[in-house]
Amino acid sequence: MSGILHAWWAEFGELIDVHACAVDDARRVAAHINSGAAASVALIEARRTADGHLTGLLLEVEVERPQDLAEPIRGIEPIAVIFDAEGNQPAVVALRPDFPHTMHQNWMPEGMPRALCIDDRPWDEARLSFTPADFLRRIQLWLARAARGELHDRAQPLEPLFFKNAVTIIVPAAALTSAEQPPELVGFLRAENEKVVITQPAGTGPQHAPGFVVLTLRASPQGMGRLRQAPKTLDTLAAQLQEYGIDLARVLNEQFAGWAGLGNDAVRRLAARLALVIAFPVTGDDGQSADDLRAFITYDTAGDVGVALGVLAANNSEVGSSKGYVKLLAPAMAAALPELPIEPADVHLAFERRTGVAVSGQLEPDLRKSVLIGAGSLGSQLAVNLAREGRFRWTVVDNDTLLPHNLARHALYPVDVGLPKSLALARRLETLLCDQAVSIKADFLAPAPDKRPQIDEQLAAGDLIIDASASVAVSRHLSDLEGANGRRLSLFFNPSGTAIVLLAEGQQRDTTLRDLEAQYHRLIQTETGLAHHLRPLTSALRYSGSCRAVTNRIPASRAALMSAIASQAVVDALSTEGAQVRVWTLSDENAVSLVGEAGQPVTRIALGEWTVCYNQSLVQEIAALRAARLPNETGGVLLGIVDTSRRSIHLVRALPEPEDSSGTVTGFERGVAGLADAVNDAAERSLHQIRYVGEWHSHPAGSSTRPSATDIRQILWLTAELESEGLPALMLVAGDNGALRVVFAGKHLAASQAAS
Amino acid sequence: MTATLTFHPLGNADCIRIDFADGKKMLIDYADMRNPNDPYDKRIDLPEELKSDLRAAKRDYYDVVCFTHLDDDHCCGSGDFFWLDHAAKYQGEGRIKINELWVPAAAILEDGCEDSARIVRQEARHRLRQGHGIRVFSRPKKLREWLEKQGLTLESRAHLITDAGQTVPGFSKFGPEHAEFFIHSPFGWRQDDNGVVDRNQDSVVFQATFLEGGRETYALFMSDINYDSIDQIVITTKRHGREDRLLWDIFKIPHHCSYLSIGPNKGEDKTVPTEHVAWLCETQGRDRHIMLSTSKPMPVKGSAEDDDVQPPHRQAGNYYKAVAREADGSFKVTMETPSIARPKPTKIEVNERGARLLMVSAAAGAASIVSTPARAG
Repeated sequence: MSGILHAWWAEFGELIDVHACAVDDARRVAAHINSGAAASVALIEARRTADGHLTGLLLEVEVERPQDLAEPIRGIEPIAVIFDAEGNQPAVVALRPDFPHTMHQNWMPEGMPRALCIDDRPWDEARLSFTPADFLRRIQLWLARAARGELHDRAQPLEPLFFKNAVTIIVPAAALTSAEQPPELVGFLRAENEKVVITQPAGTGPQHAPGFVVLTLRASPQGMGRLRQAPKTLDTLAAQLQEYGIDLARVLNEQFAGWAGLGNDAVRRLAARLALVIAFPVTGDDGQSADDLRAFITYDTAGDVGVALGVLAANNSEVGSSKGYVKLLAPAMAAALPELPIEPADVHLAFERRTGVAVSGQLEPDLRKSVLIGAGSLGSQLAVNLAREGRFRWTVVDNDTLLPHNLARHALYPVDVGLPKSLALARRLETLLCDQAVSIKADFLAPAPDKRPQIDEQLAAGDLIIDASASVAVSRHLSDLEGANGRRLSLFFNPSGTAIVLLAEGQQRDTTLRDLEAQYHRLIQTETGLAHHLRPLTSALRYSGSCRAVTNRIPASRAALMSAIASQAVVDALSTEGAQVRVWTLSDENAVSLVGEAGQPVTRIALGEWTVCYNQSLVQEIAALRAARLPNETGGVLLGIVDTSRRSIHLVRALPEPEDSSGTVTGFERGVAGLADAVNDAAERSLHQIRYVGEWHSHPAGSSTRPSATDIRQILWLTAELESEGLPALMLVAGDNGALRVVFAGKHLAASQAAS
Repeated sequence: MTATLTFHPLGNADCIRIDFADGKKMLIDYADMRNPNDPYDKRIDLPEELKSDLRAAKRDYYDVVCFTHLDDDHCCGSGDFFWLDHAAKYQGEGRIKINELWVPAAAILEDGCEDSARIVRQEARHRLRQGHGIRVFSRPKKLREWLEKQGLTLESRAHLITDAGQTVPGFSKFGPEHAEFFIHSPFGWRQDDNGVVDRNQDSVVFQATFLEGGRETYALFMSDINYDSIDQIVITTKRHGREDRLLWDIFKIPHHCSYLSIGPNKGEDKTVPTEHVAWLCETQGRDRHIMLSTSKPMPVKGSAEDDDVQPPHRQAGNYYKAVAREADGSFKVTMETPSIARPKPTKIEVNERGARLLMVSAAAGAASIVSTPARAG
């Protein structure tokens, strides 16, 4: 026997013959050791508690130690493994009385030996693969790692075998900051679960009958790290806290003196049980300081604690509530706390921004200001996802009310029906982040006059503006918006709900959402994988009698999947400097394919009131078509996005010459074969977002792009053709080295400009 | 980066493999003692064990093989295992090559060897004549004479000879191998005095130093020398003021735990050490050191084995156990580890925290202590 054992073991119970033991796992472990299969583990004896509930095996475990010890672990350690009759997770306790307090131990009641946490898995999982060999090896490895200092920090949970069904208390982190006057917390139990105490600042949130008054305390940073064992009574807790610079008797004396009386608050407080939450600053492996949180709950009411402390007396007078307590006249400052029983509770911090940041694996919270336009299915899920990750300070702009059919794929719940979506979502974000979120119920494109200044103010302050409105108009409006410098990101599903699209401006904003929209349409035209991207809706769902009250048939799971992609897309886009267009498409089996490209520089040509824009892809497309026909001329039609309200044309595609065209060194005459079908196909593929906007043709090598007489004749013809559509005539002439000349004609304008 | 020392259970016989930080491999002695016809022989199948290790490392050679002396329990079976340069019959598929062969001068000079000893001697002589792939420890007068008989000079072979008190060229604490060897024995003068080879006392004794993460860990390989020779080494080392060269964290117990390596009298229950042995064991061993007896299990008092004149001696074991206890260290016997029923190679890992006897980490399938649930949700 190697030295003295913890006294707890001798009192644990009677010696038994382990082979006659009724507990399977205990017997199996003993048999395994006795078979000689467990190298460096010896079974010394077995004991059973008087009630027969617990069986313990005393083992001597030889430890794989390095010469230079990180923790004073002995070459041979006496270890007891404790099994209960129900087959719960066995406890592993170190029986050497001076066994060190290391990382990765479970919390034991005062006066009991230290418990090693040898397995992080839930017992229900671990028991599936429980073997005596694995169990013993885990003990040996734990000791080996302790000796090498390889156990890592972790909150110490209560040892499940000795704290069955321990209570959990949830406290807001703000209550533990070292503010002078932390907010008073009250705690309540939900009727459905009496093992979780939820706390909130007194007078806030939903009103519940308070079952607990909560006192938060903070140990001095010069303290001794975390509390090592769970005290069982108030006086032993006080004795331990003395070492951490907390005078519990004084704190309670003062608190009770303030709480005494017969007012409602006093009665409420003193009739509740007392919960003490104590933060112990500890330094982790990484040198960062963190709080180790411990909580203790009295079985007695605060009033009774006060009575036992000698500060209060129950109100026995005829006046006031008989449940009240009054302050004793001239009470002696009680120096010693009464020996009242307390139970330890696991502490959890309420969710807030920092929790989200930590759990999502970030180092620092992203406090950028985000203005969300549109709180529909995508917008709400996107915002909630990002908020759960602790991201952004939010403003939500939406004009809709949450209606029942929205619930099919919205982040909000039936309880929110009837509320403005912006308000309900902002509240949800607030509760997740513990940070204010602004709600603006307004039509973003046509806000009521009183809402406009607020919207403008929020947009001006926004570091980013997320358009989840699924509205081309909103996206274009944001693109042109002045007085706001934040990056614009536009996200939307395609109509059939099989793809999610991101148009993201770069930091410089030199490629705008409108330019990216054209680029997106070019991808739809050119990428075979996107041929059906804008396939028109086959059957919309009418949710009310109104003709426009239709909604897409997209299942919630699909919307959630795509919203999740969108959430991550926002984060990724913000970490990239440049602009980008990305389209994620889901297959029928939910495989995701990605088509995307960086935002391209755009050439903008202002001609009169009109602006014509095109990007490098179009220049290259025309250059390639021209090169393929040289020395002859060639040409074809131009497709683009026309916004008559903005008088802008974004060129999207140049189609190649129809088969019946005739091109020579000196001239080109565009044919018509198949052209109508090609233009119609392109328009349908774009869901009629792009259309015929004009003509292009090439000039031979060495020639200028100046329009020839033939060209002038053609533009006159074009003007006549397009005028009937209310559009100006547009012609592109392509020359050497990608030179392009834009020739533009309309009723009141005729101009040409060359660009290369 | 770590070095690993592997001690093979071979009964009273030695074979220790060192795996250096840079992947170099070295054997200290090779004695294949197992009787393949005896299913109850618990000694390890050494060639199989070593070859599977080499296969795993995709090697067919050792950087160094050191024969501390030519007794059978240190070189048995070498002719079957190694690729030897001196004769074609020791060459062929599956044989293990030796880049550098280390032997005491005695191994060159001894006459009338038989079996494995003779084969190793012939190989050593061949390599010394060729002038490469060999290192000889000590330079007694007879070595000069032998070389001259071969038509060679001692000077032409001086770079292949290392004397006691020197470190072995080619190894450095600061090189990729993180290791150096300091030679304590043999002494050239002893052979000069004795005239005849005394294998045990002329065997190679050295201190290996491993430098890992700023910590030096020392291993003393004591071969089969007795207390007399230990006294001599201690006296000589002290005379040179090089006590640090006898510090140790790992102690390969001399001569399979014979009492004669501790003191002249076996004793009733515990051998009493000579002054110098006591100094070496009790003051030069550092905290939580590891002592290894390459031997059969320790005899139980009063058993037939206990009366055997051959080591291991229970009384010697008791002395070493007391030394281990005093330093919070451990004493292990190759044929007892991890159990007498199923001895396995004993591994010692050397890293920035010193030496550590591997008991669980080495076990196949050792589960991670903090294995996390396999699914997330």
